[in-house]
Amino acid sequence: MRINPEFRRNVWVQFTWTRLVAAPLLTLIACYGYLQISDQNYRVLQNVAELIGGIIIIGLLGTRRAADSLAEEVSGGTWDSQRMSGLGAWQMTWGKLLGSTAFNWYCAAIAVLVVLWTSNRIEALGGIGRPAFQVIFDFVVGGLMAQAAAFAIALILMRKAARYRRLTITLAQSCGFLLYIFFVPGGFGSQAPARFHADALWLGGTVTWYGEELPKQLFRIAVLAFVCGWAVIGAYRLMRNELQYRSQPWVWTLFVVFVVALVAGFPPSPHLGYAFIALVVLTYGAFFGDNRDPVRYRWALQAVRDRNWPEAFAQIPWWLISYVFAAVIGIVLALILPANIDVGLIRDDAPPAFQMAMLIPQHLSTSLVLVLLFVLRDLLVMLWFSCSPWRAKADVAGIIYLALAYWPLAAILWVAGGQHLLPVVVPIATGNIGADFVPIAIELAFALFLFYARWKEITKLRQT
Amino acid sequence: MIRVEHLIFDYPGHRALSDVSFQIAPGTITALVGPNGAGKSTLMRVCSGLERPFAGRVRLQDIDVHENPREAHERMGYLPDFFGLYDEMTVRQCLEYRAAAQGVSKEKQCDAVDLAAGRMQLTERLNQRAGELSRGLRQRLAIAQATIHNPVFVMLDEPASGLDPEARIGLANALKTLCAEGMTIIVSSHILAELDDYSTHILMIRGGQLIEHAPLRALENTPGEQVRIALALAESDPRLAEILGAVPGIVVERADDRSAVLSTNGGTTTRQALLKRLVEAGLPVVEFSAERPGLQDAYLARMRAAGGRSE
Repeated sequence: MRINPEFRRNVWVQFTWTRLVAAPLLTLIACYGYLQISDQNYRVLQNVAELIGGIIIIGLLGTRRAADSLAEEVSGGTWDSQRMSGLGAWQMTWGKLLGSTAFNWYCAAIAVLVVLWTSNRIEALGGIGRPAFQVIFDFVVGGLMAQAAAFAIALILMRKAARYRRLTITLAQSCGFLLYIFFVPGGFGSQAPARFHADALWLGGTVTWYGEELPKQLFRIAVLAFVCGWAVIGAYRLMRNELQYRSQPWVWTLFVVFVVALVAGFPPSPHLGYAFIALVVLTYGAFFGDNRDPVRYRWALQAVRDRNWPEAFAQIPWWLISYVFAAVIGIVLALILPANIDVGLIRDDAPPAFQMAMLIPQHLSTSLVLVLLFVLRDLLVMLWFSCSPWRAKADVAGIIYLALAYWPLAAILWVAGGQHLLPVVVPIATGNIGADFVPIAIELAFALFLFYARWKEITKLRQT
Repeated sequence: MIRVEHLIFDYPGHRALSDVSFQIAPGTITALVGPNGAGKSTLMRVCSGLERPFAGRVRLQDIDVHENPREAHERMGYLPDFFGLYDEMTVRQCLEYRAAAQGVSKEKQCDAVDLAAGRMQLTERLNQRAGELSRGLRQRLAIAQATIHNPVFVMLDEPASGLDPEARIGLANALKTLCAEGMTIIVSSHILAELDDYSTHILMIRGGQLIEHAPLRALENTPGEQVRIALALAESDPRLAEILGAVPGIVVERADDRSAVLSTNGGTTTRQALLKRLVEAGLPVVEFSAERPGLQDAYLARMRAAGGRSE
């Protein structure tokens, strides 16, 4: 059998005899010592093992190792050689993902053994242990999901800003870790008491999804498995791009459909309302994830002109796909939902942000369309940043722009009693069609003008 | 071997490669030269499939490099300008890893490691960590890694930068060895005198455009190129200056009865005519040497002709 060379290289680097022996030996000493001083308290030992093995070694350090596996190659000058190797995208992905975290997994396996052993001891003493399947599933699938997500995000971020290695790696690690914490609550997390009950139905009650009452724990496990699959597929597809394979954006499209289908199932209705919010978030997320290279956009336009559809589709930015979905669902919602929903009396002493948000359902259809137009305006402004001479700082500029555009101005208008001017700065309709749409139309036209002027400038190529 | 067709590559706001086309013959060493920012590294990265061009294509033995990058990489080696090594691994591990990553079968990996280490004179260092090697040895290890799978085509970006004279000589010998083993090589460098030692062809680019692609020998014989000729006779002959003055296309810089220094820009035909005239006149010629224009001279002349600055 031929071992994946990338996996083997990582194992060479990480596994020394000292580390191999030290990890189980130290665990053994720590467990024995703790049991001696705690009067055989297996339950706490189990939770500590789960915390250290799961949250720290797999969730925190494993995601760091996964993200760093790429950053080390880029900063060490070996990444180009790797891209020139004969390794395919899948080999490279799993070789790096599992190889870079191999020692973490080794330590986590020891922690799992401790959890299962303590579980066995607790049951032998008449208590309720942890189901082996759930322990292993949380460690393996939860850990793989978090690390694959960190790896994929690192792939995206390294393409954008290889210079800010520490920052990008920490960001990728944080995303992976937060996902881990979200899906796999730790030994001391909110579901800690549930750990001591084997009945899955008891664990956290039920979830209503598309009208069905589903056991929460089983639902979590199923969603975690899907998200893990998506994280691994995402890492693989991004690696393909990195290795210069041409990829059509079907996987992103399917992912968008998956997210829509998942979030649309939760109550209360309207189901598509959640999907719309998720799509807007995905649009911004994909936009910031995209390196927004004007050269690539130019390729796409050229491909469209040449009717080279495979190339044109391959170059479509993911944020555009998400936006199209958001636009379709937003318009469908605007058409099928009641134009105005009476939200009843809103108390004057309610927080201003809540009072402001409550204006949306009062003119729901108009507000939904306004959201789409505001998103479009933001995209154009941030594309203008991306085509500017300081395009390397376009992301930071975009974040500052969004913060300034939505928060202080709206707050000032509200406090100053200028509610009728809100549509100028936030997508909240007032019921006056002219006042609602004229400001955003002017803003859109101005953003389009700015972007187009910059686009013309940057595509006017000068020779080196 | 490798055919580059109408390559165009853009960075935001400027065109780095503009309709570049050329073809590299097998078994040659081509010196890729040009001023800073000319597009040398970009050209190499596009040819290696690390970057996708806006237009045009690169074909290696009829494989489209950008359509089938993995297939092309199995036949190609590339050493970037700023390369790295896995410092914590031994030389043997580095080479074993690269052999496996390039698809060399397990049975052949040992032989491939020995061969690559042997031709780069690293056999004695196989158990040394890469991080402990000197700059010159690191360079050799990097080339050994890039060529361990016996690629038919190798690209080296500034391989001699930062090397001491001894290491540079070692590098030149290593490149000649690779070429002798059948590899076709492109080397980019600023040290033109060294490229002169082992290059067979020159590829000049400036401002993303191809200025010249020709065999070095052809450059020597190009009409219009100034060549200086040193001439000496076995014994004095007063007719020497007179005979030399009568040959068209020859400028006598210095002459006495027994020796002369001439210059001509007439190419080999003029030199041949001059030597024939001397021999027919019965002059006892014992030395007739033309100082051939080196790569540096050819480069400077071409760059001047192209109207650019040369570095």
